[in-house]
Amino acid sequence: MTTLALTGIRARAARSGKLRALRKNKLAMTGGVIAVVFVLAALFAPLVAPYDPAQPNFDNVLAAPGWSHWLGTDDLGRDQLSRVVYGARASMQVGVLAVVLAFVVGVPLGLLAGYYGKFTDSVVSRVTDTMLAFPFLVLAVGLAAVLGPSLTNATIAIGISQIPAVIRITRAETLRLKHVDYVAAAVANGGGDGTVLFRHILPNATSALTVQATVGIPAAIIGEALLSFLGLGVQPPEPSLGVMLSSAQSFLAPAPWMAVFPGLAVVAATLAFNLLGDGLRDVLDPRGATR
Amino acid sequence: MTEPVLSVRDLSVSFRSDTRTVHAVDHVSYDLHAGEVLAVVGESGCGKSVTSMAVMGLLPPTAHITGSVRLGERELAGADDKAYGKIRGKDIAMIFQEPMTSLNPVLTIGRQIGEVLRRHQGLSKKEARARAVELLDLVGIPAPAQRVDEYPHQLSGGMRQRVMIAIAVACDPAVLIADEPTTALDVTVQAGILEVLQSLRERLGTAIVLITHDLGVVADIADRVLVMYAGRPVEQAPVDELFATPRHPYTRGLLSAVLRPGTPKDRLPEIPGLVPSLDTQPDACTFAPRCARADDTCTASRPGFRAVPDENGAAGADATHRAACWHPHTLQETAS
Amino acid sequence: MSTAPALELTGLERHFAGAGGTVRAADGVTLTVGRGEVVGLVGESGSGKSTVGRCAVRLDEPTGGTVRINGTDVTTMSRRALRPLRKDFHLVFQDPSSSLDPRMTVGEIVAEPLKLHGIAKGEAARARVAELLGQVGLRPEHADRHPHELSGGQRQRISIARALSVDPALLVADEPTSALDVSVQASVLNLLADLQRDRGFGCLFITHDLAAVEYLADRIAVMYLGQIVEQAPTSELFADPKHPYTQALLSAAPVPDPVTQRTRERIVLSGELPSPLAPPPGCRFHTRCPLAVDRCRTEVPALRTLDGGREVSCHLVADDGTAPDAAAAPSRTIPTTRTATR
Repeated sequence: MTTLALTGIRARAARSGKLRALRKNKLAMTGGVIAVVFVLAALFAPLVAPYDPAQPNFDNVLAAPGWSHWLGTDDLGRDQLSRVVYGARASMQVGVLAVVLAFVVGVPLGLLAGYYGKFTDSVVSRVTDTMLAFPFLVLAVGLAAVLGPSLTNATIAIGISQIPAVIRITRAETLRLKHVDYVAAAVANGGGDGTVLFRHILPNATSALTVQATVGIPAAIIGEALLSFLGLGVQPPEPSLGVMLSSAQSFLAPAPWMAVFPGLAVVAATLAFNLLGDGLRDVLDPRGATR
Repeated sequence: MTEPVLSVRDLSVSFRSDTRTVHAVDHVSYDLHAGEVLAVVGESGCGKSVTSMAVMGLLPPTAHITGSVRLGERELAGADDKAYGKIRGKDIAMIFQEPMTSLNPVLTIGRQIGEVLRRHQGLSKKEARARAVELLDLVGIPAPAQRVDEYPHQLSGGMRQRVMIAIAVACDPAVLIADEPTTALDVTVQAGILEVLQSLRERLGTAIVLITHDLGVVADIADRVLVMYAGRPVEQAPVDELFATPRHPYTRGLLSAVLRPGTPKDRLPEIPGLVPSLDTQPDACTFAPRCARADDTCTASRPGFRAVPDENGAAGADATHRAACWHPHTLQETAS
Repeated sequence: MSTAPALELTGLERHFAGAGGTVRAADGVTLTVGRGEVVGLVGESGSGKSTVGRCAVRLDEPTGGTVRINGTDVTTMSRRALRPLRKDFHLVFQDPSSSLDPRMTVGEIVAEPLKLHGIAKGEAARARVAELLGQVGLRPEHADRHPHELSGGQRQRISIARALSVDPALLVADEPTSALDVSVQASVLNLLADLQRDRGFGCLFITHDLAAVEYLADRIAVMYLGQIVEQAPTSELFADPKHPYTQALLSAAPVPDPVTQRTRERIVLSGELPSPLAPPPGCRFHTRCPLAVDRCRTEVPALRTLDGGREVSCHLVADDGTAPDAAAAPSRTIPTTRTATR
């Protein structure tokens, strides 16, 4: 009995081993902490932001960073810190929703293409390949231009642009898992396609999909900044890191902080999620996960 | 008795990570003489492969190695990669289970054999090629003059393993380590590879360390056998003696669990329990938890690897048959 | 209960069409596994024995011939139509680490067939799982573990428990002991033998391990390059192999006894296994057969039934069972006796 209890403990330790491995990866942890800061700032923007981000104050335009305005003010006297916080909120919103959209559409298509093969696969793969022929940002800009400028449309455009990558990853995982013995065993058990796909293939593909998600979020953040910068995303006076960078262009010499801080925010957010994603990839890599 | 060509003394290998230490090999010793085939036998995780990798200096830097490995006059333990580079392939060579992954797919087999010759013996391109053809002939590859220009993927598994052997013996090494050389092959192909190893030993006097889990292969080719269990040596004896009168309970269990032709259709003997974890190095017999003969002594102190008692119960005069056991089977018991 | 055999393969073909041509992995395999009978299917890699096994349980689609299970023709049945019938046949895979879903607990794995066939669920399923685990020598507590927490032998026991949970009439075991250590092999073979005796399922035991098949099987079929070359009751096959390939196979496997092994003669086959893309004309074995004559190179030998009821496909074996001795062929054998160096 004691040996049983002991093995039980050892087993639990093995399962938490992945978390521990992640915790030991300093870069990934740094990324994770920054990512959490961004998520919290986005969630609690009204509490974190010291001022109303849209409220102009013409008595205090282009103020340099200081005690009352930590990151300075812009050409309309709006508090930069508040605008960065609200901008991060828009970034996170697009980042998360676009990835969710890409997964909701891409995962089922990838599963179908990988599992059934033949005609379904040909159609899905051809469309995917065609979309992948365009660079991600070019595709997003094109779609946003067609859909019209708004935060929602930017989210949709970015989400659609990410679908092919999600399909590709899901399809590859499905193809790999389709030939693993335990999937054959599920068929032999009398399992139908639903059982095989959703009970055996999808759960075992989650590692790869999780990594894909952490790569998709920073890409979407950059996408949002670009679309807003080009006027295809968030519309002024609503704050967005892209909009801020766009309006900072005219004031680079007198007020460089207008460009520096939103720029740093974009870099920090994308870097944070990429580092976290790399760390997750190392830990969740299917080859490393067999243990 | 002549000097051994390879002498391993108290070789231990452990792998350390932040969370645990795995004692993969725990004080293994053996001698290997010219023209001799020593089989190292055991189940997965017993340390038989790690022992040989340590001898070859092929373990990653995370491995902590102690003990002594003498190849002729040279001490190899602690030698750096540069020193090993001079002797690997020349004085000691190794072949592996999977011949495909050990061969470079974009080079002809002639080039790959020639490379070793040119590095260690300074042969010219032409000489190396001529020698490669001879070597292919030596390992029983038909039409060697044509085969020398072929690529690994054009050969079958058995032929690839022959090529690996040709590369390994190109510089006529004193010692050849063969790590499960026939495990990935079919029995009819295995038979051919064993023939080749046999002829190398006879024609070149190569000493061979054969790592295997297949007791049929051991019976076929080995002169002496070293049985390992959980990183430790448990028994060593000349092959006939080991199969006829195994003294260690683990060896007996292993031999009786092996199916042989004409095995009666009643229950096969099993060894109860599981192989222990290698995380600890207990001062005890590691087989004790699975052993019917175990008593308090076995769980309280580690048995030495000593000569087994002879028919009178006295310690054996020559130490050719050793076992690490507090209560080895007597000769009378093994006869029954 | 019908009296039809558990498995009946008639002229089974599985051809894989590829860029380089058609691979004839199984080419006209006729084989019957009676109720409660253990039939060993023996062959080397590339013989097509695993393909036959996968076709028998319809994890692979035969391209010709018929597969009957319990008398029902399942050859062309759709996957959906086949699902309810799957409780009559199951299989055990070679590699116990890849045949169990790593994300499921042992209990979920063993219970899955019960749930899918609507045999038991909830508390009843749990009780049945505990019972099954007991039958394969595991404890009820193992149900809460994940496969990676168990040893290879234990995992193979789980695979067996899963396969037998629905009480199939046919079990296909594809090299169930090949990935296991010697001492663990013995215990898994014991388990299979015990369960087979108790439950009386028919078993197609696919292996390259002659000793294991001799221990377990009532009857043995030997495959070479996609075809069965010899079929006989186990004791007869081992005592008196008729086909030169069977003779070579039996002689090549070393016996774990140095004294016996030294006196044995082994038939070393020349050449390589021909590509299944282009099997040789005539007898498929003639390129490596030490006894081949002209007739073997041109005329395909049929799988004939000899007087005693054994089957063999070789021109050189007479109808009364008189067979040539491949070991007696000139210059093909090498005695295993060594020049003693000790």
